[in-house]
Amino acid sequence: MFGAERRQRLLDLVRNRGAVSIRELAVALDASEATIRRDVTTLANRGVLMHSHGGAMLPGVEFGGDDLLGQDQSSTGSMFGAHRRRLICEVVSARKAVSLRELAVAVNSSEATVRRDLVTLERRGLVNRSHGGASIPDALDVSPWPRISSVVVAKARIAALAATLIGDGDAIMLGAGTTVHAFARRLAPRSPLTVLTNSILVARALAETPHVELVLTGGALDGSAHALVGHAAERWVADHRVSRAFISGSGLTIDRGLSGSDSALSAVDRAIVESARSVVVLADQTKIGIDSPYDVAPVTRIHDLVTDGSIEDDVVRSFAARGVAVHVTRPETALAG
Amino acid sequence: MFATERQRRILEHLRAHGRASVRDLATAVDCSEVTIRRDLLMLGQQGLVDRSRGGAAFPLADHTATLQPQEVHGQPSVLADLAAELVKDGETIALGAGTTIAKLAARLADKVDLTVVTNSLLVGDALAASNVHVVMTGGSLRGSTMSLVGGGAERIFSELGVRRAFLSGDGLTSTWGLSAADAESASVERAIAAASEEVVVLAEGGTVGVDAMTLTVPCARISDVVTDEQADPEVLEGLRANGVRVHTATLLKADQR
Repeated sequence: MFGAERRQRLLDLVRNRGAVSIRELAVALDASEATIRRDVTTLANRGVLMHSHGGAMLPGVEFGGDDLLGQDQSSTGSMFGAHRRRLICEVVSARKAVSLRELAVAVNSSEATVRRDLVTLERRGLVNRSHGGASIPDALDVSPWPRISSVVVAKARIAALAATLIGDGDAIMLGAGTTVHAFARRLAPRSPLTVLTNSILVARALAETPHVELVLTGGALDGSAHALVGHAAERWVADHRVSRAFISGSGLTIDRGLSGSDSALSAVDRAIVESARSVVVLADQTKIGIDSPYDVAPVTRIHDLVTDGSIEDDVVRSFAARGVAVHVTRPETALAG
Repeated sequence: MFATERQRRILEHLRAHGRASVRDLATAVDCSEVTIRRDLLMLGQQGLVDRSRGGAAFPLADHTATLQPQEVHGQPSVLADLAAELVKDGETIALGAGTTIAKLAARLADKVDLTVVTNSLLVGDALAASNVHVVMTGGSLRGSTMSLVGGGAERIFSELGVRRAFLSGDGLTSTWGLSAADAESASVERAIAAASEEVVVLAEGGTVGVDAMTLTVPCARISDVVTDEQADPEVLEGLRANGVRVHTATLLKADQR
């Protein structure tokens, strides 16, 4: 196994669990503790995880935008302090208000430890301490822990699998969105491929790719999505016909199909669906079962769904029953391409 | 083979295969493993590959996608500074391709109620985070200049008029006008000029007095030229005689920063 592959699996393990000891990592990855320690140092230098006493954990920066939870200084027990504090925050934000005793049980530590953690967290503005427990400050009544990192991994895997769906001599359309962008980065066609897109990120990712003729739609620039929208963009799309479209949207359900959260971007995606003979939806598991405000494509228009391994079997079956070919990534997809 | 070409082929190989050993890469691009290792070191530092013992992998996330525009376009440019003074709040302007024009775009981020029509992705990048309303022409992407060309890019200018266009090219003379080395790009710039009341040309001193392959804007259609002290004074005099307003930026200004 290459170092990179081992470190990728190490990162996956840490991302799934939040924090893992060196010993566990060594067993899971079939490598010496010295090797694992070196890997963790390498990854910590890149800022993707934190080297903590006896183990590795996700950096606070991936969760709060700031290293709010801090490095663990004092942990000697089975759970690292920072990991424990993250769990405390999760419990408090899920329940709004929790007693000290409940928290101690939830994180399997003494009340004294939890009380000390709450003092630390309150200083950082993440919880409000109250008599006998903790609550979340009003300003933080949103989970400060978006699932960023595991989603990035899922998107990369989906991208690699979807890249295998491109046929020879195809003309395709790519919508805006981070999953489609990840897909564009992995495209390496062996024969001429025309790609029409309204995404500046997709255009940039494919600008110098051999065999790719990249056509960008016109339109007004949506600066936050780095995509072109509006009547001009929709008309560009409507004036072209392609064999396949790859879009992602922000929600996918059996009844509703694909939907989006932005009205202008969804309108362009709808035009893309109209202009393509077959539609491939790239959706990681966090989008499945979600209804977003704007319709993009009914299930009957979706030919392929590429999603990650955490999708449930009965969901796969119900999409398949509606005529959707479901492609599920396997954990090794991202690295093996 | 040049290093950049070799590195591009390394990136393509990793993009298609996900990961590769140093030995595989050496075979794929036909050079020594030592060279590959050195290339991977450079590519790794730019965040384009994840290096590992014995090989490299395509990175999971795109670290280059969120480059801050000022990193690319924020370098001092006296031409861009001077040209930015010609842009008024509330106007609709057209910006052509090229890095000088992209630097100008970066200096327009604070203008009020400004609309920019452009065929340059670099301009789009520079203004994406600003309040400036940006309209892209659409068209086929020219990777070397990150600009859009072809009939699609030209179409929008037959339906729209702008107050002023800012263009740069590969050559500028008083006898011919603004010219470009690439015919397709020149064709788009001609369409931009045709849709504009006034054409402002940004010309670095070295391009003044040079004729490139294709004419984009004849001298008679040029209203302003923004250039620097290195420009040939005779050519500038000829431009003035044709009624062109010439603005000369002092390069000294750049040294004092």
